[in-house]
Amino acid sequence: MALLEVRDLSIRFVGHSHDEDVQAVRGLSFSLDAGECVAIVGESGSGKSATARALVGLAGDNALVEGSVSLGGRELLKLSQRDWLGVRGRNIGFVLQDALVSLDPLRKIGREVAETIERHRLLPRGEIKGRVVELLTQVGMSDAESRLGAYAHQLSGGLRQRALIASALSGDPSLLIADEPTTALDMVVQAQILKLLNGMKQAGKALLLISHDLAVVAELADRIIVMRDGEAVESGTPMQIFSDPQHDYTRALLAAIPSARTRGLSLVTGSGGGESGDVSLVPRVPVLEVGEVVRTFGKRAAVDDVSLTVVAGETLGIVGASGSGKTTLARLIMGLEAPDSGSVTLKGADWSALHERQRRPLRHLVQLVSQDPMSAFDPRFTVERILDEALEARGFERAGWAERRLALLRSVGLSEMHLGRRPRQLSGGQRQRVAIARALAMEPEILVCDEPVSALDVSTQAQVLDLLLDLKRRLGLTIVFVSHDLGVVQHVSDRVVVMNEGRIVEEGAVEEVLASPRHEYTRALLAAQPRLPERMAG
Amino acid sequence: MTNLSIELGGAGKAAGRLRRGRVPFGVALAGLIIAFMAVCAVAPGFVAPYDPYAPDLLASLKPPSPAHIFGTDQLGRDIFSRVVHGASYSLYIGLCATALAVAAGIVIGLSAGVAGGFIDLALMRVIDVLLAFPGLLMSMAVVAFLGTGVTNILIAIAIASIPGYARIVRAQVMVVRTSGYVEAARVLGQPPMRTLLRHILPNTVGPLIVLSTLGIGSAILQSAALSYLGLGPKAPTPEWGLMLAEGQGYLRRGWWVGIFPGVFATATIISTTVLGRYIKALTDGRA
Repeated sequence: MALLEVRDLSIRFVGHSHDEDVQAVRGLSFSLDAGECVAIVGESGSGKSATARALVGLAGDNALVEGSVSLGGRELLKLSQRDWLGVRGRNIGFVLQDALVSLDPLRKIGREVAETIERHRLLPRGEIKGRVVELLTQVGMSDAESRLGAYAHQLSGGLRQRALIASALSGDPSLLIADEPTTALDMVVQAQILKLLNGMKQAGKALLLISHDLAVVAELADRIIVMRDGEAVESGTPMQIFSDPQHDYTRALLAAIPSARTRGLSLVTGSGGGESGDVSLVPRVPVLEVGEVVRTFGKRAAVDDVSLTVVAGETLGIVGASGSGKTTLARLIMGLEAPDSGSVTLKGADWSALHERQRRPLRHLVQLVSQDPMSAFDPRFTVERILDEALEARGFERAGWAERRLALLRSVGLSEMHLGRRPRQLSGGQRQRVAIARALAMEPEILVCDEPVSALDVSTQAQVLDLLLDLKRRLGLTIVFVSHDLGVVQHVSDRVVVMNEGRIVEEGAVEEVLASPRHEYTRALLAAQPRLPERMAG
Repeated sequence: MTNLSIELGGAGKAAGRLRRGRVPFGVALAGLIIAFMAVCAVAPGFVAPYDPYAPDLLASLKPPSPAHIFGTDQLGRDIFSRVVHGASYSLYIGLCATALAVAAGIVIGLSAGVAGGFIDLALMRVIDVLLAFPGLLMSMAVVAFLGTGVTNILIAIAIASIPGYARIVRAQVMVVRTSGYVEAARVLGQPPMRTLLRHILPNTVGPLIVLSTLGIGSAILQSAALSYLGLGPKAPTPEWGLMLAEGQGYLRRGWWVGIFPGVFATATIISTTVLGRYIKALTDGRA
């Protein structure tokens, strides 16, 4: 018998009435042994996180969990809340997506990691500190002893995630469940965390990995379960899944992963999007020039002597790790930050030196699509009012708004039924579509996209990327595309700029830069990119 | 097949147990109490069996009986009728004082939050000074300046509650001002005044309105306290705090004279607070 046996697991969330009940998981079965890794992959709403939570008895008060989950022969679903306390941390370690939220902001890292050991009285008091240092060192935190006194917010994303993993490991559990452990991290750090988890697996832990991204789990998982709408649609070894996917949905998920190979192709249908619009044939008219721009916050230069030119009709990718200054650069281009020195020139006129009053009538030229559209919309506004605000700002006659609204919604793949919805009633992908529609309402020449798809799961990301490329072709938009994801940048960009610590370290056509990177940092980024098994090339 | 239907039945039952969305008993009770008080305030003649001012010296200090369910006071007036008529004073002062304080708080908080710099600094230091005095002391000082009476204690209570609201508004403005949607309006080229009225003001005031329902209870408490101290309306007005003070002298001979106004005041204050908390929890959950 395997260490973890899940049989016929069903989870139903009970709402106010029967109509609001949600069947999150239906008849899920799998087993997991020590030293093995099973990955559950699916888009949001597929039931993967509900499964993970149910396995640690945290499905929630309104969840009805049925079936059987046995760990080392012990039935978990029958445990009382009290008995669960003895299991969580001790037998099962749980690592969540966002370490900043999951770690207590008022407690030092050392105490956080020690908690499970103290709670289960695993060691005499005097030995706890040594064990905590050992655990932190084990998860690759250098200089662990000096970091015991640090609070969560004082650590970088990667270090926080390591601390969280250390605390999950502190009870020496036989099973480790990691729910999207790398989603909040940039690629370089993600690669490190995946390596760390792999080490845990080698050391004999059973690892259950939850992710929306097939590419992330490809190297780590022994078996992959693809979930959709609460059911497992396919399962198998990574080799089987990647080289011979049986289910249409698995194929769609695989095709949705953007990379250099998918350039110019639709990620949803896999077909070419018609005329690819070869940029080299278009006259190279610079529309946006950034000249020797410096922007410092306190003592740190977020953007340090950056110069670049964006040509009409092209897509410029800006890639870099978090903290590399790419978002500040995007804000400088938007005229939302003023440079300390240097200038941003828009269509030949000095844009950064303008007074806000003078800039306002020109703002429609450059529009922004940000990472988190939820916060970019007034929560009280309906989609209709969100679009109207843009139409009003652009100075369109009120009489024509209704027609324009519909045209805008259609152009981003939505319909008039969405007009009455509020942002929170939309899915992540729909929200991003509305954000794009609002930007388009301004009839911009340049669209600045700051991590527009990094909050979306792979299949939604594919739809939004397809939409952006389609709009670019149809409207001749110039796009500045900021992302930490190399695959995405390779997919959308004509030219790419690699940023590190506020500076541009490499620049050029995508094929050249990413095929033969000259700078060390670009190489490191490339090496960190999660790789699918080789056969995908075929 | 039989097996399956049994299982389904079991699941249905468990689902029923988990189902949420009922209004808790305490909140329902508080709602009923407030509804009753509102009726008393709007149409006291409808509820009260007697004239609250009509003395009947032959029936003075009678204990509760079927004819006078709360008994009579030292002048033989029906206490139940007086308590019912008193609701209008408390609710009027509570609502108006809170509305006044919220309005002033919005103006001050919004100016400070939006203007920033010196204006913010100056306004907030004034608010800090006001906050340094306990609310009741503050309102007493204002009454000492304005004189006694219903309108004056209303103003006094409002002034004493302004600082709290102003601070909340300012803090909320700070959050909203740096929000993504205010930035988005800027990217669209919307002028700042329009953004202020369209985004900042509504998103600041929304949470405040909810919070102010909690403030009504304490405003009622303060009005009763000021009246009890003799700073409110004068006898023979049937104001709860005043009746409480009058009843104090008769506690040995007729406990009912002071107890019932106190019970009504307490019930109203607790009920508004319970309702306010419930509304706040509801809106928090939705956000």
